[in-house]
Amino acid sequence: MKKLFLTLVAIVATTLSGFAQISLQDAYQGLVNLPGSTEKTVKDVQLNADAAITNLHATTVKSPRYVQDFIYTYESLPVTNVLISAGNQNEMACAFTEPSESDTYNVLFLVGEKGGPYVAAYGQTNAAGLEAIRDCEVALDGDNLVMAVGPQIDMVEFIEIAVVE
Amino acid sequence: MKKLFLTLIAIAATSFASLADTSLEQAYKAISSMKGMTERSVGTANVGDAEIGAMKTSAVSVSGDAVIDYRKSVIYELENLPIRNIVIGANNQREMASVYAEPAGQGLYNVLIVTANCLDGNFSASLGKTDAAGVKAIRNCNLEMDSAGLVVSTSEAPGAPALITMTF
Repeated sequence: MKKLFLTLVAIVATTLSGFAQISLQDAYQGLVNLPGSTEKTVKDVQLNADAAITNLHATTVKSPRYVQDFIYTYESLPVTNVLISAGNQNEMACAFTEPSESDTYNVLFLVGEKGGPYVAAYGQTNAAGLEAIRDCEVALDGDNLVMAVGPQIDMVEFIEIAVVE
Repeated sequence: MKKLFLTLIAIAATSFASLADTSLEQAYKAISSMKGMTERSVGTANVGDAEIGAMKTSAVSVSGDAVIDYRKSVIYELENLPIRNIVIGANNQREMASVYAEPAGQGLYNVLIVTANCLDGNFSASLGKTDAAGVKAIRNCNLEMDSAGLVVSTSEAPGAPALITMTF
């Protein structure tokens, strides 16, 4: 009886812990740790004159077997933290955000196309950066997805996916 | 001790129940029963050569603090739907449109279209049925979104029929 009771306590505790929200850094770290993932530090991405994404790290997983890990990560993060997203089962890109230090926000990008590769990128930006990402232009069709900061002549296409059949 | 034991079982059962995915019909029912929603039957909507049949739509137009309340409620319902069922969708915290599909048997699929426009306070949910060709047609739609609007249309061509249009 005592063992059963303790087992139930453990089940309840484990289940309730599943409701706890994970941070963007934890989410990114989980994907970095996938077998076969390759991580690199990307140079800062200048979104416009006032905004950039800094300290950007990106990890790429090529094997389609890890698509569920990306989907699980997406579903583990609160929808309210989605800054922008677009997808159509062939390609998907989304950006999550959460406050970091004062005037700084963490941003996590999850980008993927059917069959892979899947990319996660994590960095920091300011309020102007959030606004630039939120206001960016999205174009999605059957085999192409572009997110671009604009409108301006030198448009910054910070996410572009083209599905190769 | 017995009460505590039964309470723990109840908590565990409730927790596991909340992990179960919501069906599209349940999600539609939940959204359409929100205060102020009015439902009407649409009949059929064409998506290129395919169509979504038996379609019904619930919509509401609100302002002020009610926009925030509806936003929260719609997000809560959508968080219970698996993202793998999103056939096409986009959102940028101001405007959101998602089309979900799940098998309904006999080669048909339930389709749920949810739109939320937090700038003008228009929220809607539509439920209908289509076939595999319909799901494919929806998936291949063109979607364009910026800070001023969101359009899901069947073609890039100017004047092409739009499945979803939200502008400010």
